[in-house]
Order: sequence, then C-alpha cells, then structure tokens
Amino acid sequence: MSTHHVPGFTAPASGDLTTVEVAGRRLAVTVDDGQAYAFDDACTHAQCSLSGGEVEDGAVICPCHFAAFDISTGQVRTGPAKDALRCYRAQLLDGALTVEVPQ
Amino acid sequence: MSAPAAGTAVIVGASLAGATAAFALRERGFDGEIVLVGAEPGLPYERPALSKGYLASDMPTDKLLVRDADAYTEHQITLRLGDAATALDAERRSVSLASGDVLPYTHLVIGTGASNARPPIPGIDLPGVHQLRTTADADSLRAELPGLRNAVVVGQGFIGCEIAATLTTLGVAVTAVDAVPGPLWGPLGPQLSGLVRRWHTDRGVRLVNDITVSAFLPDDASRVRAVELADGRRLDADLVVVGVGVRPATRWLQDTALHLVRGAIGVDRDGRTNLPGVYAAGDVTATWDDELDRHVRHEHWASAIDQAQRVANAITGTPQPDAVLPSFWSDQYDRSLQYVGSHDADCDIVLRGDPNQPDAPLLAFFLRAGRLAAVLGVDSGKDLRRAQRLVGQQVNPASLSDPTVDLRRLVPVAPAAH
Ligand SMILES: Cc1cc2nc3c(=O)[nH]c(=O)nc-3n(C[C@H](O)[C@H](O)[C@H](O)COP(=O)(O)OP(=O)(O)OC[C@H]3O[C@@H](n4cnc5c(N)ncnc54)[C@H](O)[C@@H]3O)c2cc1C
Ligand code: FES
Repeated sequence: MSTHHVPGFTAPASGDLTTVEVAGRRLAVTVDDGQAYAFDDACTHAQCSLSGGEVEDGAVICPCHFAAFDISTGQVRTGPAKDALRCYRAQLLDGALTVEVPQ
Repeated sequence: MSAPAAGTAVIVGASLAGATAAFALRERGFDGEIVLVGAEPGLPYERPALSKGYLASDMPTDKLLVRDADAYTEHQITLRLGDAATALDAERRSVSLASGDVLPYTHLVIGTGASNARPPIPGIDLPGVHQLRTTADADSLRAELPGLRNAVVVGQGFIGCEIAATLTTLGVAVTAVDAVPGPLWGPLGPQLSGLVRRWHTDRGVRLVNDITVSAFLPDDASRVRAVELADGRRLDADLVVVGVGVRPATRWLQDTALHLVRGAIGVDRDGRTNLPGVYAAGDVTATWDDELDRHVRHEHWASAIDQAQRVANAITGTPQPDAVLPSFWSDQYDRSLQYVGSHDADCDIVLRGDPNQPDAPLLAFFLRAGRLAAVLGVDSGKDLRRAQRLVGQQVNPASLSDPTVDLRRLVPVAPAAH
C-alpha cells in the first residue's frame, strides 16, 4: 500500500461524487457524514463512470443501468453488476484527502 | 403470515425469470423441492450483453451467468438443463419433458421467455443470415466478425439498433432496414426516433426505411450475398442479422386452458395465471395494467426480475412490496438510454434538452392528460431516477422542460377539482 495526498481536493455535496487521479487510477470519491469513500470510477458492469451517478443510503448508484454498490465494502446491492467494486481507504483531514492504493 | 410453503415447485425456463424465482423462493423460506427446467444446455445467463459487450469482445459466457454453479447446489435447486417442457397437464398438476420424464408440481412457474420471430422471407435459412437471442446465436455471429466488411441488419427495434451500433463500432459498414419510418419508431415515436437516427447516421450507418425485405439472395456457394427489397433494390451483404421482434414461447401450452393474450400468458401483477398453482414471469407474460385497462408486455431485464420476485412472494405468502414501475435500458455507441414507466402514442412529449444536439444529455417526459406516464433519459440516469417518483402525478410541463428546475424539488401540481 502507498498513501497518496490528493492536492486541491474539494469535497462534493452530500450524495454527489467527484473524481480524482491517484497513482494512474481514476477514482470516484464521495463524502458522507464527514467520512470520505473512494472507489474505482468505472462500474464493474459496463464501465460507466460512477461519478455521474449518486449516493443514496450508503450505496453508489450507477447512472447507466442503476447497479448499486455499498460504498464502504464495494459489495453489489442490486444488479445488473455481478462483481464487487474495488474500494480504497480514504481519509479526509481538515479538507485534505489521502487515499491508500496498492503499489 | 402463512407457514412457509412446501410441496414441489417446478420452474420451466432456466433464464433470468426462472433462476430469479428459484433463488427468491429459497430466500423466502420455501423448503420443498425446487426443480428448474431449461431447454438451453447451460446455466441461466443474462442476455443484454449479447448485442453489446459480449458481441464486441471475447468475453467468456461465464461472465453472463445469473448465478454460478455452486449457488444452485447451496440453495438446493435441482437443474434439469437441456430438457424442454413439452406439455402441461393442469388437472393432474404435472409437466412432461422432451426426455419423457413427467414432473408433478404443487406450484408451477412458467418463465419460458420468447424466441425470435422468423419471418417467412425466401432465403432466411441461408448461411450468413443470423438472429440473436442466445449465447449460441451470439457465438456463431461473433465467429463471423473477423474481417467482415459489410452487414445488413433487418429491424430497427432495440436489438437491431444495438447490433447496428456494435458492428459499426467494430468497423463494419452497416445498413439497417425497417418497414417503419425510423429507428425505434414504435417504442419512442417520430420525434425521438429522429434523435436515434442521428446517432446512427452520424457514425456512418445507412438507414433504409418504409420498405420491407423480399428475399435474401445467395452467392455461388449458397451463402447470403445480398438483401433484396420490395422495390427491387439490392443491398450487398456479407452477413445479415434479422431482429424483427419476438414471440412468447408458449407453443407447448396451446392445448391447455391457460389464458393467452396474443400468445403471451396473461397474469395479474403478482404473476398469477387463471389456473390454480400456475404462475408466470418474464418475457413470456402479458401483465394486467389497471391504468391502461389491458394486458401489457414488459420484455425487459428489470421486469423479469421484479415479476419473478413477486411470484416467489405469492407462493410463499410473503407480503408484496409496492409495484415498481416498468423500466429498461439500451446502449448504442456511447449513448446510454434509460426508460421508466409506460406510455403510448396518445401521450404528449415534453423535452428537457435539445434534440438537435444528438450527443448531448436529454430527458423526454411522456404526459397523459397532464399526468406523467413515463420518462426517457439519454445519458441522464441520475435525473431519470430523480424524475421517477413523479410518474403517475400531475406535473407542470414548464417545470419539466426547464433545466434550472431541480427535479428533486419539483412538486406535483394538485389535480383540478372535479
Ligand atoms: C440480445 C438481447 C439484448 C437485450 N438487451 C436488453 C437491455 O439492454 N435491457 C433490457 O432491459 N433488456 C434487454 N434484453 C431483454 C432481456 O434479456 C429479457 O427481458 C430477459 O432475458 C427475459 O428473461 P426471461 O427469463 O423471461 O426469458 P428468456 O431470457 O427468453 O429465457 C427463457 C428461457 O426459457 C427456455 N425455454 C423456452 N421454452 C422452453 C420449454 N418449453 N421448456 C424449457 N425451457 C424453455 C429458453 O430456452 C430460455 O432459456 C435483451 C434481450 C436480448 C435477446
Ligand atoms: S455500467 Fe454500471 S450498471 Fe451497467
């Protein structure tokens, strides 16, 4: 694992998502109750950008076919996606975001 | 609540509806035997990718499975694959299979879906003329793609449009033919058909409309070479795909007292048929719609799942959740189209977005006498979900079309007092 600081991060409004580039990966980030959640931006179903969707009841909902993934575990809550979403440990301290990604 | 239902559940049709019903029964405490019978040889799989990602890549079939093999063992679901049901005896409560076996049932769930219509056009059986419903169809189509130069797609419905888009993306020169005036004319109407037309023609697809196909013509090796149209025009074709609609797979039920509506099994919204202990779900059904006062077919991924779950609820005595709205999606090129509700030609259309900009996001609202009947979104999944709660309500068209009005805040207008 390596910890990356994300410069110039602006937290999205509740329920919204933003994207960041970390170590060559495009991640979607959402902030819920002060806690940041980061996961792959590409949906595991047909690679739509999850940052174009929204977060509801702790799940990110894909804008293409409405698969829902738990934002803390990446587990599929409803299809059509089959594979879990890859999640990354993220931390928000005084507005600064750090994300841990495997090397 | 009633005790968990027991007895034997026989489910005929091992695809999305059938497999969903099988797992849903177990998850709701059904502890009798569950037998899932399917004509296709393999485990139940999902079809949407067949005209999209599966066709465009070397994706393996196990990526399409509804559930993996272990899940059937864990849930004690007995699979009878590669064996078709041939007859139903509703009096004796049994189903006969092609293998000769007879399966008695306490509860029968029919999820035999649909198969492609085969119009009686001369030459339709020529090598090189394809259709697309199963992985076997997709595999034989996929095998022809390397080096393919041109193709004719017959039918500009969802399947035809998606195949045209996928082949075009792969570099094949595509001509698509249909008797209707434009792509998706029936499901979307003239105005939105014009938008879909631009998606295709802007990417080089040739759309030929208002004409029928009269024959598929062979070359010297008896493989398809051209498509002949009713006015005598000929379209070169190294390959043809016919996608002109489907027929509910109910031929094996013809001699029963089951209520069929234009070939589909008539069901109530919980999947009950007119016969005791017999339920149906998915593409094989036509569901009674109170609003429209007739049976309606919803031949889509989400409807198959929803109906199968309602059938499992009905069998196990599980309370039914509120009915969900019918919905579907379609992907063409990088356009993602979503739809929720149900509309007909009598609806007015209100747009949010500019239909003359074919690659921009767009929402189309279908209104029946001022009430929102359905919403269609192009690359607007998030807004579509927000608008969904307004379906069935009286809404102000000006707010719908105004992109500055947040759909989360839009409130229905009180209907005028009578
Ligand atoms: C190429 C393609 C693309 C699609 N794309 C989309 C999409 O983008 N979005 C969307 O919402 N929907 C899409 N759909 C529709 C969706 O796949 C169907 O709504 C769904 O498959 C319906 O499931 P089902 O289980 O009711 O029927 P089916 O999937 O048709 O399965 C029925 C099964 O029953 C079997 N069977 C038939 N007769 C018998 C018998 N007598 N005995 C035993 N078994 C029998 C059949 O062999 C089949 O395996 C698409 C469909 C196709 C073909
Ligand atoms: S791409 Fe996300 S649900 Fe299909």
